[in-house]
Amino acid sequence: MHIEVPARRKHAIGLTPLIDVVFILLIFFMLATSLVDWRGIGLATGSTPAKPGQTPPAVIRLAEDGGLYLNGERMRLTVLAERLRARLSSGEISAAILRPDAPVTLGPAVRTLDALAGAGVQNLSLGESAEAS
Amino acid sequence: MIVAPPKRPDRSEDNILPLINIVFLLLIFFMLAGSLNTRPPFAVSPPETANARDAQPQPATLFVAADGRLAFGSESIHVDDLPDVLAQRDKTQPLQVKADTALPARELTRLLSDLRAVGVPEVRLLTVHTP
Repeated sequence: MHIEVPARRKHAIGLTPLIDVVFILLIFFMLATSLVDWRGIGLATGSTPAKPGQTPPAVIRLAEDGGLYLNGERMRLTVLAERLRARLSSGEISAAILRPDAPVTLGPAVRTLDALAGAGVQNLSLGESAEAS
Repeated sequence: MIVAPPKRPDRSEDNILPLINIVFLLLIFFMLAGSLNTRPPFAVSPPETANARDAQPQPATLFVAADGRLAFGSESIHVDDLPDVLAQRDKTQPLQVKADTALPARELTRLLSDLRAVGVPEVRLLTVHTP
């Protein structure tokens, strides 16, 4: 008669508790980590008032409907970016400050800043609302 | 009488080894690829940009809710607490600000001038990248 001898257990320690712990760690990291691609825009927290000798910054107004005004003149973003770039390189202005109107939320304001930065305008910052000044 | 043949010992441990391998790989992926961030006590959906530079969120981040509430790290704070709270931060790097996309831009500029009064010359506004 052939009697099957049970094979010796290979693992001295059971794998099940290990798997439990690994699963718990996996679920923890899945829930606690974020895979968001974060970006940052540098914003100056304010500017000292320009002294008579200094080059002034250009002030761009952002209206609630998304319109952009430079010196009271409404213009498209591409035109505005081109003018700002030309003035910045000629040294006529030192920086460009975006002043959103009171109802404008951060989303459109940041989108405008981003689009201007993408069009090559440097020294951008966010300024006090038009009506507040 | 039919006697059921004796069952082979169940070697379930051998069968789940590939599963454990996959789980380990997933675990290592999430540990390396993700970042553990502090969560503010309110929901903040940051604005979207396409041209902004890379940023690594730090635990010492100033959060601004859509209604203007503030939090530093995971604690709610008031505007008046800003000097005390910001005194402990690492001053070699610009302060990171995570503001809600629905926050009125005017509130943010007001906060920026408050921060300037506290001695923060520049902030880094965190945004989410959209292609």
